[in-house]
Amino acid sequence: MAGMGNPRPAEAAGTDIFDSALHLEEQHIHEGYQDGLQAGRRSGRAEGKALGLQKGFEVGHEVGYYSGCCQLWRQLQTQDPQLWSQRVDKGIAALEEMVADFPLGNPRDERLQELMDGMRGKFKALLAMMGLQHAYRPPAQQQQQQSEGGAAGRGDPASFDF
Amino acid sequence: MGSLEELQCLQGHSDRVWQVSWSPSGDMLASCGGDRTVRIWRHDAANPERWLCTAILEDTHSRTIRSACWSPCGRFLATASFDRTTAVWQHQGGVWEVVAMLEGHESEVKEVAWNPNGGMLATCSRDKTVWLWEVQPGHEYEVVDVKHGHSQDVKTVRWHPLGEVLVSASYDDTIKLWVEEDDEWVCAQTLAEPGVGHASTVWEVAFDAVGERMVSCSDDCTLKIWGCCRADSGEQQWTLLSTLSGFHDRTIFSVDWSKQGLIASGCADNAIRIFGQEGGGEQDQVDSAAATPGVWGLFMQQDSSRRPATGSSSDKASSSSDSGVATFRLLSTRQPAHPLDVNCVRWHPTDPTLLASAGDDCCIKLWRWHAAPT
Repeated sequence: MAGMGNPRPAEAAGTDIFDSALHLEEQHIHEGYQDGLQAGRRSGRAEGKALGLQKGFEVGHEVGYYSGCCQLWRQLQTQDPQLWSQRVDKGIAALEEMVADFPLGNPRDERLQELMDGMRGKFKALLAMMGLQHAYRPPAQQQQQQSEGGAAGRGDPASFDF
Repeated sequence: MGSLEELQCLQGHSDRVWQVSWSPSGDMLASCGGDRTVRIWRHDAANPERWLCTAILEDTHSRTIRSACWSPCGRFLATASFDRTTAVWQHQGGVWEVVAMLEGHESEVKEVAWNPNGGMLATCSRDKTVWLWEVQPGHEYEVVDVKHGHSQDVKTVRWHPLGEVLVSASYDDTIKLWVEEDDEWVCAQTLAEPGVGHASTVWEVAFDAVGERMVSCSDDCTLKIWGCCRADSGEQQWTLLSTLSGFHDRTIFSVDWSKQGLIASGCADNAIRIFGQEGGGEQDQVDSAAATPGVWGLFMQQDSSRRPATGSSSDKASSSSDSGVATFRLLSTRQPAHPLDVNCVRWHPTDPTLLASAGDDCCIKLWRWHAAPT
């Protein structure tokens, strides 16, 4: 190319004054890519955060629901110690333990689904033992009913918008 | 080799018959189905070769009755329904009445099974759970545990003959084994690894007479034979012994294992097939896949398949094992056994060559297996 001749030794390679012109397209592609990456990060983070909040709420809501039920049942029990059979009493204790042990602070715990299944099963079994299936509905089922257009619960927290 | 002879066609149901169940002594057959009734069939006193309907149990379930199971003592019959309930009936002097209604499942109950000592009931449902109930005095049934674990509709529950293990199988393609641990039931094993477990919905499982082997049938058109090893810790570990493929072209809905070791299958191609183990003779060895390593080396397992069925009576399953515990041959195909899908096949508990089948044609058929003279 005319005018190239011997490059001055002091100049580092690639800082030729014509570089920006020669590599314009690649530069634009690179810049565009970086811009896109940044924009993607921002929107992905926003979406992830929203999803995380929603899922976190659902999990917390369900665990809290079971915890609340246990507290209520215990209160009823202090008023009438003969209320529940020994088997029910053992079941409530088991559910309380599961609630206490649930890793609310660790969303990455591998056992999350398994532990949730265990609590759901124990809760359903307790309801059946107490004969209260129709009085209570586990939150997961409430949400399902909502989405299927079933009877809406009053002020159901699952409909909160975070 | 041999053949199935049709003895009788029992008519009366006005909708598809889903299941048939023999009473423990074999004197009665219960059938249930889409017409929301259970029919009880007995030998005709005047003509012992014929069976007739001696009772119709109705006006209890509001939807299809999917399963009926006798208690081991023979006095009770449990019925599982799409109306989400399980009813327990008691009969005395020919009179049947409901003594308990078990509620709890959130959708259609698919099967109910009494454990061998009659102290527990297991139910399973489209709600993906398996429930365990304990029998209490005064026809009270208490929930012991509610098991999640399956990710889809649970099609069947069945107890091991010794009663320690409950098996469930599901639309999620897996078979799960449940055992009791400190008053709770846990899933001890899931049979589902790629290349080992079924590739589609598992519809039924059945144990051999002593409970050492289990057969499962599936929408993937295969039967799988599983064997049990006991680990050092005393736990059971089930492994795949062989796969019988190429014999069925459609979903296999039902399977049962007779006291004499014959396996009957009921298929969506309207046929009933009988498989058996016959000692000696040549065996076809076609396309044997690599052996699945045995846990304790007691059985040599092979997952094998064969050429597509040609319908010839010399069809054989190609599988081999050191002790021949899983070498099954197709002995006979009865096609059509019913003009529509065969939903259930059950061997008689004390008459080992008597088989009952139920079909979408609203009929129940009784069959006699005639083994070919050797």
